[in-house]
Amino acid sequence: MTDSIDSIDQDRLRQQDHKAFEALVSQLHIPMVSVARAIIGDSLAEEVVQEAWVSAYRNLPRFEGRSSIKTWLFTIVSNEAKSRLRKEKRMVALEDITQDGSVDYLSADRFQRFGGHWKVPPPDWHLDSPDQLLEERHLQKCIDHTVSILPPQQRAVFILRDIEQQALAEICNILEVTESYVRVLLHRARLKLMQVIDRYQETGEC
Amino acid sequence: MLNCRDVAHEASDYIDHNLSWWRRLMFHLHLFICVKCRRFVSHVHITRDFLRQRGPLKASDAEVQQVMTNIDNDKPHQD
Ligand SMILES: [Zn+2]
Repeated sequence: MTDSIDSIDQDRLRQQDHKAFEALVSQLHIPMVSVARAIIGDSLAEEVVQEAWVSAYRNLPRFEGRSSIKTWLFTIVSNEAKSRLRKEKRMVALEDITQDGSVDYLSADRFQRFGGHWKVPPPDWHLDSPDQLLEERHLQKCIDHTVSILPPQQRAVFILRDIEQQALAEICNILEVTESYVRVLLHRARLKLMQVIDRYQETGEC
Repeated sequence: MLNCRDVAHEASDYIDHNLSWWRRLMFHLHLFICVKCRRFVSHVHITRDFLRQRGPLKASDAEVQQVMTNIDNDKPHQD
């Protein structure tokens, strides 16, 4: 990627250079919102993220680079969301993943009751490499839509891990959840997106 | 012995190398004998790599401008 975070000059960021900061916001606003939504819910997330950006900008001269700039920012928004949560005395419940019936691949109907073998096996794919999938414009739109409607914690975990490549331990800190829970959420998110690819391969539609 | 249902639940842990060595061995044995699970695991793998290679989800210009406006408005308080 030519316009990745790495290409943004960290010295210019420390000097609070507007253009460099704008590039940072453009790349990381959506992940930042996903973190806030996972912690505090939809209604306050936007406000929390705006406060986090302002506080990040103020503190940029003190960014020492001990963690990556991404992890630093995700920690800022996470702390902002957690402290707001305490102030509002609100509780955001963990997603009840047992009630989330939308992962067809994990439903009991997919498997034989005894023995656990596939009853409805995964379909064949004619596009069977990442490169081939990357060329499908319409598929990208289907994926973007599905990512946007994932439950908040699944969405945050998916974006932090598979898009932003944060370590599992970092994600646990940022979202204050256990590693096994992160892994379950990640798997569910991937399988939902895989179902989009299944459908696309079969019908050419979302 | 693992069955297909177990493979479906643990496929991400397998491709991300998060299984214990014993579980991983059991996984290998199952994949060796089961073509449907080989296909499933391969699809999870392709899905993960495809999604990773797509790159970041970029904010719209309006979203970026909103943040930049807030930062400009914040400045006077700092001095
Ligand atoms: Zn199998």
